[in-house]
Amino acid sequence: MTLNPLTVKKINRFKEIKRGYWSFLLLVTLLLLSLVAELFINSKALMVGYQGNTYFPIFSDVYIGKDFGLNYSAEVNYRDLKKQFEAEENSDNYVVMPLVPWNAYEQDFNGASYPPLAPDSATQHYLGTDIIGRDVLARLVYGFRTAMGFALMTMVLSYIIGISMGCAMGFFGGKFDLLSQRFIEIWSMVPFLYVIMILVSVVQPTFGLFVMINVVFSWMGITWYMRTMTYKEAAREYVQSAKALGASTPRIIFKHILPNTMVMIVTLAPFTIASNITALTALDFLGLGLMPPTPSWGELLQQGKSNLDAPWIVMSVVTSIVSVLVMVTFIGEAVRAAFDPKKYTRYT
Amino acid sequence: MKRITIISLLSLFTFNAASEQLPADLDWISNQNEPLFASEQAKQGGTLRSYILSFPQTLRTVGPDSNGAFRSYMLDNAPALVSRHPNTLKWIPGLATSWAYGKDDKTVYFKLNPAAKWSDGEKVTADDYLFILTYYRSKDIVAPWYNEYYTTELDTIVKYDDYTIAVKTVSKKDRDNLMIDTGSLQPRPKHFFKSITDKNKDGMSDNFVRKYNFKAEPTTAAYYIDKIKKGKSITFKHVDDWWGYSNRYNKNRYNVEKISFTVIRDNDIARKHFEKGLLDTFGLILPDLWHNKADTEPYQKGYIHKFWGYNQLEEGAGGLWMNVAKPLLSDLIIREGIVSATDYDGMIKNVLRGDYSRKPHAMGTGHGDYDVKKPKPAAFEPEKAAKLFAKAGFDQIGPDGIRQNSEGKRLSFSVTYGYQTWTPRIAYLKEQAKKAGLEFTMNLVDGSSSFKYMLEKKHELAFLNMGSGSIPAYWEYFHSDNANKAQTNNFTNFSSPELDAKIMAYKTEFDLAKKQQISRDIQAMVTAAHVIAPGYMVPYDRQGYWRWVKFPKNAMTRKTYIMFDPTEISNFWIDLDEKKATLAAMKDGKAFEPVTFIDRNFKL
Repeated sequence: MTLNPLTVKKINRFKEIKRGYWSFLLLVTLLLLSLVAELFINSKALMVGYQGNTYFPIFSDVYIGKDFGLNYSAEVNYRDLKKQFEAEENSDNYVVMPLVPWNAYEQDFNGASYPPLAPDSATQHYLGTDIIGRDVLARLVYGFRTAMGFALMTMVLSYIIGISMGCAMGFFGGKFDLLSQRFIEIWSMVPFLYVIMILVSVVQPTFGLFVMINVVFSWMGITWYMRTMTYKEAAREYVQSAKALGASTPRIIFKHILPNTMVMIVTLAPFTIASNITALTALDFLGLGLMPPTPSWGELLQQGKSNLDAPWIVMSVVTSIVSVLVMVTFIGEAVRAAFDPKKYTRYT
Repeated sequence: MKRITIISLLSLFTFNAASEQLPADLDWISNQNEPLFASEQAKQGGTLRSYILSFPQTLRTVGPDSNGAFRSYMLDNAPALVSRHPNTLKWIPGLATSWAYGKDDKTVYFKLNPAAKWSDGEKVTADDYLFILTYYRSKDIVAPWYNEYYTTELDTIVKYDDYTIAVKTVSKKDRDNLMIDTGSLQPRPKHFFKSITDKNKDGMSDNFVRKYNFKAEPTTAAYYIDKIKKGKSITFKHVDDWWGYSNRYNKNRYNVEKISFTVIRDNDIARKHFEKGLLDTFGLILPDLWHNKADTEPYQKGYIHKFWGYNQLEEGAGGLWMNVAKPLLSDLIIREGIVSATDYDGMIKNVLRGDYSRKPHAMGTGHGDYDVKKPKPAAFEPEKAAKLFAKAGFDQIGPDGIRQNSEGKRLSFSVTYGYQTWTPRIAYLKEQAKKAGLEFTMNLVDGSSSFKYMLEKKHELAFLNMGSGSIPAYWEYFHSDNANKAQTNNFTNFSSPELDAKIMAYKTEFDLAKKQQISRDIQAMVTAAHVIAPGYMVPYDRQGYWRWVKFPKNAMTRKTYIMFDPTEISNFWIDLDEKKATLAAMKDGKAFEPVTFIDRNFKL
């Protein structure tokens, strides 16, 4: 694929803005890693050797205790299994556990003290546990995945709707434009929080539904920008000449106008992601978000606020939120600067 | 047609009343010599500043959404004809000064306290008692439970003169049960419903539910609603020169002048308000609060004291209620499996620090011989549960460890609950249930809307505790009249002809021993139906309070539910001089000894 030299220039300029570029790399790495978080943070073993056979519990259906000679038919507790195998003499049985041998849901009541437990490498709770003994690190990482997944999906969907609407409004103008504008004005007046509250009391908020609700109320923002941009571009000479050459409407929109409005979309995207993460966290914090016990930053923040005497909870989650939001903002800033035709107006 | 009959009957009685003669040979009882449970040292005055988590959905005391926690301040704690002494449990005068039992085992005669007044100054007379039946039998109040109760339990109320009445029940009852049904009556203010539109002629406003949604009725209690800021706060004020003090058992109680309930939607924020001195008392029942959180500066400096008092309340039904109208839950074997897979014991031990205790039976405890002897709640046995689930067709374990049946349906149910503070408890149950291959999903519906959700039977499993009277109630929970209907307490939607028969027999049985036997039979049937996994109970109250809040040496009574509830026993007071002194000391940075007061009088 050959890139437009202008695009190459923009990418190069983006790379030059170091903190944005590094933030981008870091965030993408984190996101990719979080997609395979099961390999690092999990209560299931990576690999079990038992009586000459090798098992990979993470990649298979659950094994029950009886599969490994234990006396229960619930899912195997691999941490205990590991201890048991290690205690056995002259046996080839082994268990390889992930880096953090806890998942985001199970509760560690060790009997000696009540949760929240402070960070401790002996118990392998590297960031401690929350008030019901769940590993904070595990919940942070899985919560990150949820938050990013939510933010990206919401953004993509609401942009698809917003861009199409905005483009159509700008391009066709007239009555359609007028009516759509009024509709959006009215629609954006619907109190989002109340709608969420009502919906949450009626149905269980699953992830998909939650994305949908957010999309329904957040596609309007970009329409205004797109409308203006399309208006402007549609009046330009190159569009006029494309029309004169007999280009079809879809061709004009997709080949000529959209690429020229890309700047706007790419620039706004990171900020939308940031605001989506904030929205989800805020809703979870209020208890109006995803169904518990889904790991979520908002819920951790809520716990942290209620338990300031267990500072590891609030500290880890605040640090995470702040760093992710800062990184996203750096990226946004760098993108904006890179796409700015006036090279020397950089935000520094 | 039926309505017309009732009305004409009622008017007949009022007509007859004048000619009706009070039997001459009545043995009047007034129990004026029971011990008092308040203190002579109590001082009147001051404002108790408290909070509520959400603004009540209505200020009606009956009808849709009225059965919430806030109603206790308006109705449940208001005086009745008689009440039980909170320690000796004998009947003591309330709005009646004395009473006598009729020879027919159906009638109780009451002499009313002529001093009694409504909070708007009107006198409480016999007519307000006759109005009870009109009020609660009306269809306009949209409250099937009350319609039923006041028709099938209470026969008539007869007026002899303005201050003498008789209450007659439909069926014969022993004296104690007769008094529970008749003595607990609370008059309704007839004058308040004088000018109403009443097209169906049942004596109540046709649009009662809407019209009186936020119109509080006058009360006979010490406190009436004075100011309402919708969504923000409700202020109660002490009735000037309250009639109730003419009753010796009310003396030195209800001491504060005003009670303000501010809506604070978050317990943590409320706790901060409390620690700053903006609230006077704060509940510390939760183990985490008592053990970990109640140790900040105001506690250490002795400005805030800690109170732990044991009580011996009857416990109502509670635990994990299963809605049998939902798919799979109609299967008895699955329900039995769920009971065995619900680890309340572990939750009490691990999440609640062993402070709470397990409810021995799903229908509650503390009702004496009405309860099954030494019931044992089902223990947590995941293996047993797993076998039961397998028997019900869920014999495969899915890729995520949750059981499936041959159609690929997962063994998963949602648990509906009402408060974020309960999340850890449900989360514990959820994790433990996995050991039996059962999945609980958690459905938090916040605050008062969760109860509405359950009343409307939208739940699969409901995590809920109900209160209880001194004898257990069954009709509201298990009679077929209430099953599969919105706004009833049959949260399980479970009923059977046998159970219906038993419940009706229970309601009408006159002989105490037999009645108690039926009650035990019903409890056994409920256990066998596995529709409620017995939950937990809290045999104490714990509070933090600013040092200017004072109370008698024997603070708790057997029946004190919340020590600093201003409308309940309310034998505490606010010492305004002490408050001034404390505020001054705080300004100077002067500290006092930290105090933890533990009242073990009623510890079992």
